[in-house]
Amino acid sequence: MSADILVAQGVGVQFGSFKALDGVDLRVRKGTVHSLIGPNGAGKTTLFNALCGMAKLSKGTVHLDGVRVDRVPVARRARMGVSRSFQITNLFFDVDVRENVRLAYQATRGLKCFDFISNCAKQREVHERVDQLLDWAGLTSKSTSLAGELSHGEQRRLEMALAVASEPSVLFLDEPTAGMGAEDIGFAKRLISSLSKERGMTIVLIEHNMSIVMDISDTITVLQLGQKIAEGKPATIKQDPRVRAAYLGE
Amino acid sequence: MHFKLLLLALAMTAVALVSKSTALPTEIFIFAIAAIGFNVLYGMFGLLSFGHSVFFGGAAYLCAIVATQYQLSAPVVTLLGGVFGLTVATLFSLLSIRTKGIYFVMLTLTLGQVGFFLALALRSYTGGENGLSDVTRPDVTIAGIKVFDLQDPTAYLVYCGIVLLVIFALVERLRTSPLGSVLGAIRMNESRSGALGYSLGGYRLIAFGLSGFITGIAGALYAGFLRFVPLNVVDIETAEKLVIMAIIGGLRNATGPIVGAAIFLAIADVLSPIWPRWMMLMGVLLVVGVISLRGRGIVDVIGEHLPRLRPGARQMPQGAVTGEQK
Amino acid sequence: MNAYIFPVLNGLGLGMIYFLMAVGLSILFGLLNFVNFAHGAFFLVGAYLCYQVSVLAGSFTVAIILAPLAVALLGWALNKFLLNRVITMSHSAHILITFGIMLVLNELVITIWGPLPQSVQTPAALQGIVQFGDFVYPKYRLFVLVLSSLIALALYLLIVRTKFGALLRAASEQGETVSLLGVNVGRLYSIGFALGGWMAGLGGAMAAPLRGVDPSMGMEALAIAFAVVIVGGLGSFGGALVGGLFIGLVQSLMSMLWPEGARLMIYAAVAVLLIVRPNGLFGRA
Repeated sequence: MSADILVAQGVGVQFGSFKALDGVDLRVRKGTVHSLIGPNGAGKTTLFNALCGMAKLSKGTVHLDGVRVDRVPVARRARMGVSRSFQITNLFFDVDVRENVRLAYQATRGLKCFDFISNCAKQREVHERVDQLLDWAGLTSKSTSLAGELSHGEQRRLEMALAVASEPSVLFLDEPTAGMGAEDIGFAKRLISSLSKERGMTIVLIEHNMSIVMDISDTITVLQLGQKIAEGKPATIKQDPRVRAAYLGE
Repeated sequence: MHFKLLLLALAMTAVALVSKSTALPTEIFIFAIAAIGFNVLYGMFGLLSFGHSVFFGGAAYLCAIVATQYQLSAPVVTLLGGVFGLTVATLFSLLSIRTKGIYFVMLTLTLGQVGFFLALALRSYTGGENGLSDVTRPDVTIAGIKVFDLQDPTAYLVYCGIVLLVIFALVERLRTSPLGSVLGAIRMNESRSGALGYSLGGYRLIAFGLSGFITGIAGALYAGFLRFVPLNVVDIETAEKLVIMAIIGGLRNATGPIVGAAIFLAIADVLSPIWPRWMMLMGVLLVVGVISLRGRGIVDVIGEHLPRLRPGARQMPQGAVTGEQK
Repeated sequence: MNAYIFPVLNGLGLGMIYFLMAVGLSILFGLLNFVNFAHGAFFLVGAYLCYQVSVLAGSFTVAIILAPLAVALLGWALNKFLLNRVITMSHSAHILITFGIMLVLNELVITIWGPLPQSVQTPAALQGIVQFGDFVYPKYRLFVLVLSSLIALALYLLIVRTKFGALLRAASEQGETVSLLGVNVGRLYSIGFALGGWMAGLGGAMAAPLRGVDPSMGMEALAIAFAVVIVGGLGSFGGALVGGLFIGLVQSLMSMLWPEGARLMIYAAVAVLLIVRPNGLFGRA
């Protein structure tokens, strides 16, 4: 129980009369990779949005490290240690890769964000950290390219770099490998793995790529039509008839 | 930056020397300040306001009344205009905190109208349609002793020029600073900025306040310039002017609004005696400018062709379409 | 009680004119996601053309038929030759471009007719008053009220009962899907602009005998149209109606109680409303 860093209880999200999520419970253990899978329309991204603060809960609660956060607005929740990447690439397309990462890292520096005197380009300690992140994401050679000019795979890696820059307690990755080629996928898989194993970061992952899900997840939660239908270790989920029905029956 | 400042000072001196009288350059400097103020909210932060006439005009009325009633030093009066603008802008920001997109633009226009009709209604203070006349132009004094006489038009021109240089330096500093980068980030991508942890409402407050402060300063200078405050300072006409100046000049740094103000007022000065309907040209320029230049202004276009003079660091390159919060 | 009947009726009449002015703006936004700052110019041109035609032809009837049609043509032409290309640009771009067009049209009007206000004769047939027992009311104002209500009803039926209206509504929600169905969305937009222009022009033509014509009408009309769609919400027919009537009534009643502050009160009320309901009463973002 005390190892649960994120606890969602009875979470429901409603758009008008449509129930995107209906009473979902989720417990994420600290330092684990917890995957969310399910057919399209199951409510996975909606759950993400609810946990990160971008969707309003119609019922239920969310606790982060014991603190209730479901009423906390997005930006403040992010500063509390929740970070996410987006399913549809959501970068600062008109500035270069370095600036994208710098902005992401800068957000962690509290009051220094209000500094109106210093020159961003000359902040050495910031750029050292940015260099590390660029290296981690394999984007060092592209640091001066505009984010909009990157290949799709590079953009997805930048997406992840932005989410990781703040060294969050809980990292939400929404289909990080969507549209990636095989080589990029392998790279991404290693990145996600290393975050969990080497840095002990808690990761909540939405993925359609089953090999990644089965390989790196500690726990898998299966959603269908806004409700949880199964949860457990990868081996268990693989055998679960309900899960097979949900995917194959679609 | 020092280089840019020097270049600006030289350009300003050139403009002053070339002009037949001090009136046009002074007006240019004042509206350049106002346009820079407007552009902090629009070009830097992405919020389009048709209500800046409230900050400009309101500050003009206030400073006119205060300067005429009390013997205050010019910088104090100028700063008072800034404080007025800051206060009203902060109020606007709090009121509009949940308003976005096109509704925001319409709200600013509506608030501008409120300001206009309020000025009309308070005609015992503002003089109503006749405007406020016999306004005192303050001098620079220290402890009541006159240090610089600003009654001479050339002296006032220099005073306004100095204020412009200071504002320019401040805003350019801001642009390359962490705070400036956040304002730009929110303009480019609101959802990502929020997800990264930047508090959108807080930064809106800052952008608005600064914008109002600078535009208010311009209003204070204007009252001293004319020694009169006409009703149109608080009219939509004035709000429109600022929008046009920023658009034709360029949005991505503080140079754009200055160039825009110079071009607008120079054209007005040359054309209005021979063609009263010169605003038509402005309308056409606006349409052409936005369509063909995809929202880039003159300064941006020049910058693209002369890399060494290119405005802005890597952080805020041009090429982005007309500023708008996404 | 009697003292309030006139301001209320006047307010309703005024409100209906405001509705006609604003519904085009609202529909265009709901339909095309397009913000048209030149909309005030439609009202302006409608009013001036009505004035000019009634002077030339000596007949208000001819004027009130021709003027709105001319404005409809103007709206259609603007869309076809200019605005069509900029639909893909940002809202700010739309605002600035149509604002530029508004400036040009404004100046053109002044060039042709001069900067001074002109009065417009109420048509002979509609001068004077009607009498229902004790109750009297100016004929022309009654005409305005009745005609605009009929037009509003016709528009409502058009939107709700016809295939065209259904297409309009569908296109406003899912433009791409509608075009996939083989419907010419571009033509839909042309009609939308023409219709919006026609109504604003009609509003201007009807308003002309009531308040005369002057160049500042355009900007004023735009500000009011904004106020109307702010109250009622963009993209909503019902909202434009409620908004228009609300503003008309506020203005009319205020003119009775505090003439100086009437216009101030409108805008202040609208500002308050938008602060409380950021998308208007019925609007969509």
